[in-house]
Amino acid sequence: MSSHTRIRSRPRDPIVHTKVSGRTALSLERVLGSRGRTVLEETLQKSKMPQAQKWAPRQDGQGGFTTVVQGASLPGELVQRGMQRLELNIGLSAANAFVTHNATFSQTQPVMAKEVNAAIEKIVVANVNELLAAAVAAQLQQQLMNYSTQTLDVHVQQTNRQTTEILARIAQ
Amino acid sequence: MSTFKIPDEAVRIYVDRPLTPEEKVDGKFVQGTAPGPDLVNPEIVEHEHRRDLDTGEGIICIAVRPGETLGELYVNVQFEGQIGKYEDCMAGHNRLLLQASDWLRGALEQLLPQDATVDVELVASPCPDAKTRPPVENAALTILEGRIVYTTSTTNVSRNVNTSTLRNQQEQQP
Repeated sequence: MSSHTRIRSRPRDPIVHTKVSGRTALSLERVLGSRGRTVLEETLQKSKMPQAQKWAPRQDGQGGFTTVVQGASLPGELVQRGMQRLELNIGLSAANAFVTHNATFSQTQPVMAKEVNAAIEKIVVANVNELLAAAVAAQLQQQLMNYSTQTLDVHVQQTNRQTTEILARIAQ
Repeated sequence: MSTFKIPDEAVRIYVDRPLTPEEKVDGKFVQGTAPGPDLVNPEIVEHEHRRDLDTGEGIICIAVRPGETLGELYVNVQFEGQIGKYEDCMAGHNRLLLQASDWLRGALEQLLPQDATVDVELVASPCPDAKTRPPVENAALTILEGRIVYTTSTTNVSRNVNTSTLRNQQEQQP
C-alpha cells in the first residue's frame, strides 16, 4: 500500500507598492553580434526615432536611451493594477540589454514583482526589436537606392502600426 | 559558422479559392488568407497611382515591422506594375522578392553574431491573374545562403496583390 502526495513549492513573490525601481538584464548574445551594435548605434544616430534623440554613448562603452511608457502604451494588465507611468533606462552592449526601471502606481494595492518584470521584459523586447527593424530598414533602403537603373522617388514613412515602409517607383 | 534551417511548413503560398490540381501537387499552396500581420500598403494598389506607369515600371513598398519575441522581424515586399499587365507585374514582384531576400541576408549578416541561428518563414500572396509561381523556396534560400536562383516555373496562382512576407526570428538564448 502506498500513498502519493504531490507537493509543489511556491516561491515567494516579492510584492511591490506604489513606486518601484529595479534593474534587469536581457541577454542579446544570440541576437546581436559585435558588429550589430555598431550598426544599431549608427542607425539610432541617423534615424528620427524618438530614442535616437536620447541616445548617449557612455564611458563604459555602452550606448543607452531612456523611454517613458504611459497611458495607452502601458500593458493593460498593469494599468488595471494601477500602473500610471513606467520609465525605462535601457543600456545596450553587444551582449546584453541592461534595464533600470521606475514604475509609478496610482493605488496602494499590492502588485506582484513578477507581473511588473514580465511587462518590463515585453517592453524591452519591443524596443530592441524596433531598433533591429530600424537597422534592417535603413540597410534595405540603402540597397534599394542602387537597385534599378532608374530608382525614382524613394521615400520612407513610419505608419501608425510601428511599421517602416520604404516606397519607390522603379524602372527595370 | 551560422546555422540556418527552413522547416518544410515555413514556405507557403496562400490563395483565396479552391486549389487547382497542379497546386495540390505542388504542396506549397494553401487555400485561405496568409496569416500574420497585414503589411500590404493599400495605397499603391490603387489604379490612380499606377495609371501613368510605363512598361517595366513599378511602384514598390518594402515594409519592416518588429515582432513580439526577441529578434523577430517581419519584412514585406510588394510590387505593383502597369494595370492589366499581370505577368509583367508578377515578374517584377518575383525579381524584387529575390533581390530583397539577398539584401536581407546582407543586413542580417551585419547585425547578427556569426554563430546565430536564424529561422525563416516566407508566405506569398500572389496576383490573381498571373500564372507565374512566386519563387518562395529560392527567396528563403537566398536569405539563408545568399544564392539567387531565378525560376521560370509557372502554375495557376490566384490572389489579390503581389506581395510576400519574409519573417525572420533569431532564436533567443535559452
